[in-house]
Amino acid sequence: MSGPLKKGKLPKELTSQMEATAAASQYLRQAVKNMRDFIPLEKQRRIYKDLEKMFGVDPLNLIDEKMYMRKGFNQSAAIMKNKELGRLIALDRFIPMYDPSVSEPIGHQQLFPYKISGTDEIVSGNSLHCFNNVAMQQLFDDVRRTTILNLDVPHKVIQVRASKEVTPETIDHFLKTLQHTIAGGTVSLDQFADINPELTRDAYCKIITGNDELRELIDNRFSIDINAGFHKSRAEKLKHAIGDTIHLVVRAPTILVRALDNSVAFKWAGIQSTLAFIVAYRLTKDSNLADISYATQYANTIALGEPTWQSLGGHYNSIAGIPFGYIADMCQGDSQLPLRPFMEITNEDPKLSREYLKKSIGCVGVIAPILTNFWDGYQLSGGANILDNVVIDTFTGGIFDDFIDIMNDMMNKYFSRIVKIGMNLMPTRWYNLRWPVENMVNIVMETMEKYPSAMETLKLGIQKMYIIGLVAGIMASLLSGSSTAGLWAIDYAISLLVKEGWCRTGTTGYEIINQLGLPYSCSLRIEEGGLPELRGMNNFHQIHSIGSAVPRIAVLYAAALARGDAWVSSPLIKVVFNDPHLSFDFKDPISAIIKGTKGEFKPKGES
Amino acid sequence: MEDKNKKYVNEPWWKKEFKDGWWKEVSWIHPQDTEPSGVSLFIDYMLDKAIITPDAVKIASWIPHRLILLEIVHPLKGTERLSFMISPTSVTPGIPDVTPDVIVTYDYYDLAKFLIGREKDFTMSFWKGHSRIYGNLTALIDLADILEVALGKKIDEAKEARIKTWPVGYP
Repeated sequence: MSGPLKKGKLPKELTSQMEATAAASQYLRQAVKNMRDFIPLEKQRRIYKDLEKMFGVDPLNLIDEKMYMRKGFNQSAAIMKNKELGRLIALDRFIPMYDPSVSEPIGHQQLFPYKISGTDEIVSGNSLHCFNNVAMQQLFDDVRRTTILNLDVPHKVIQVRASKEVTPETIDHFLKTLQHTIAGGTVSLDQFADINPELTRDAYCKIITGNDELRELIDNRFSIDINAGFHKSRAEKLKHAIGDTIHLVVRAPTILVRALDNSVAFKWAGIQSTLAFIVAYRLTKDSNLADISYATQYANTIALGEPTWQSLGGHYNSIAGIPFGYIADMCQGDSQLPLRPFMEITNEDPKLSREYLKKSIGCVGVIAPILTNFWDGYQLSGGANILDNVVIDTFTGGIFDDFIDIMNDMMNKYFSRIVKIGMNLMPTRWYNLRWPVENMVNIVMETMEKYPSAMETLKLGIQKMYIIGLVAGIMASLLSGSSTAGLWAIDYAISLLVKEGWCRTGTTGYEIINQLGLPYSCSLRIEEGGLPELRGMNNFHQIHSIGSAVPRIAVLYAAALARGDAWVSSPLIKVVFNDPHLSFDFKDPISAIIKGTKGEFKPKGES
Repeated sequence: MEDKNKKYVNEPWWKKEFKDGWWKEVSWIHPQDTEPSGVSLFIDYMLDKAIITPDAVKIASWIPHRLILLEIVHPLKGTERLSFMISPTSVTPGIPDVTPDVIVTYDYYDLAKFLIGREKDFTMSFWKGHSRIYGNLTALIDLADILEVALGKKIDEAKEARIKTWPVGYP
């Protein structure tokens, strides 16, 4: 409309504009009213309570009242302490050292502490850096110093080729000898140098067998007790899967992987076991040493991780070479809970199902991010401290836990109704799973938009995608019991849903992984994927970015939880990490990490 | 011993549950010789059951404005479409003029099973994978509340059955 207004009836163009404006205002007023109506509901959420404690203000507040009143890095006691340390070191060595004043000014940004989800602990971001937190390093070391050897093949060789008898007594003797050689003791010649046992006090070995009678015949100090470590329902399945076979679990000394490389742990296990066989069975004068050596070191030896592709140089037991299913199996949080399909549990009692989720997904949410961070945060990218703050999003601020609360509530109120008609899983068809995933992701995105403090905590796009991918994948896997469906959901949520809603995803190639991931999620060709449980970070499209591996591990665990399975990919790995003598607590990892933040965690490999 | 002459026919589930002339036994379906269409079945139910139930009208008044496109898929006759609006309530055959909050694709016999009272849960067909939705799940839950309350469910039960994040009236 143009020109001055005239007396009389208003022109139609103007009235229609006014009506549209009035309708929009009415809509806005209704929206504001709704928001006020539902604020009491928001205050009951875990995310509200945790973020309120972290930031010290209403987490829904859109206005930062302290803006421009903060004092840059001076507001952080941890940084100020580091600054003073850096100054003293610089004075001592005459070369400048750590000095936060050289960094870009942070202006009005709040340097907030982190609240550990599910606890009242509030810790500084620095204490959750993997170099400052020794518990995180212990987790990394405990994994890469572990190797599994099958004893059936060398036992057969000893019986057939060397004509020696293998009995529980000889096995005991062999294991006792092996404790000596693993700790760096010499057995073949007296004049060789031994390692100081104080340096290798965390080196030991144990056997695993599914045969209770056989285990009882062997000294119980040398075996992992499946019956004690797992709930009866889980132990039965694990023992049945492992059978009468005897596997030897070797924990090489931490100093070995620290001073040299993780691949040495694999070789150390083989050579020390061979030496122990030679001595324990008096094979030194026999002509079949090569057979014994091969049978022990190579015939049926399981390295946790395969070598990576050549340019990255990761050798045996490298984190990148460990299949995702193995990483999932390392998590032991729910070992003592009865084995049942998840839908049945949630249909019966939502509190119990939340406990299952806390101990299973919660455990994966601590172990998987920290372990994979050592690879893609350091060995792949060279190291950038921000990456450490990305991976801790699963167990800080109550954000991820809040979404798990909602998921549990949804499962209890809606999806678990299928139990009444005799089903435990929804059909694994995309059109059956797409809409639950879409709705869950919408809740996550809405929450992030509603909580400026959540946006501040998950400040990078990469952090938001990390949480969204996790939530979407876990939802699909819990519903269907299928890990492949979990992969569909991760890739669909990030590459399509988030892009549609927010127009972009994260930085550093997140889109590439998920756009390739959509067609590759069902591919069994090695260069494109393979079985979800056997995929790993040694794959060009799985590891472009920090945290991208974690959802792919979590969906495996969620699928096994939904099916009511005792393990994800390997019963052996499940039992290997259910060992009370391990330095890191794989059953309650968050307690170990909290001890690490306070300097109370005592690593066993550094005496 | 297995009978080799036995024929294995994968008979659809609805053939066992819905015998010929099943609609003639239902009081609120308008008398007709052939199986009613999905649209007429739903409209008959809304007019003769839902609208005359005070609790269903009451719960509908708490729900924010919703526009639902209901696609009723008959296994033999194909798909019919129906636009269903809440606050204010209206039922119109065909697709709506604007984007709906949710598109609900419902199996005809699952819908019939619910409307005639053999299944008390409107959403069961979705959880077990027969039907699907595209869009806002809360809109489906709202629709389920109205229809289930019309079938005799108490309002308090309907409130309790919702997740904490989405109480009745949540936008």
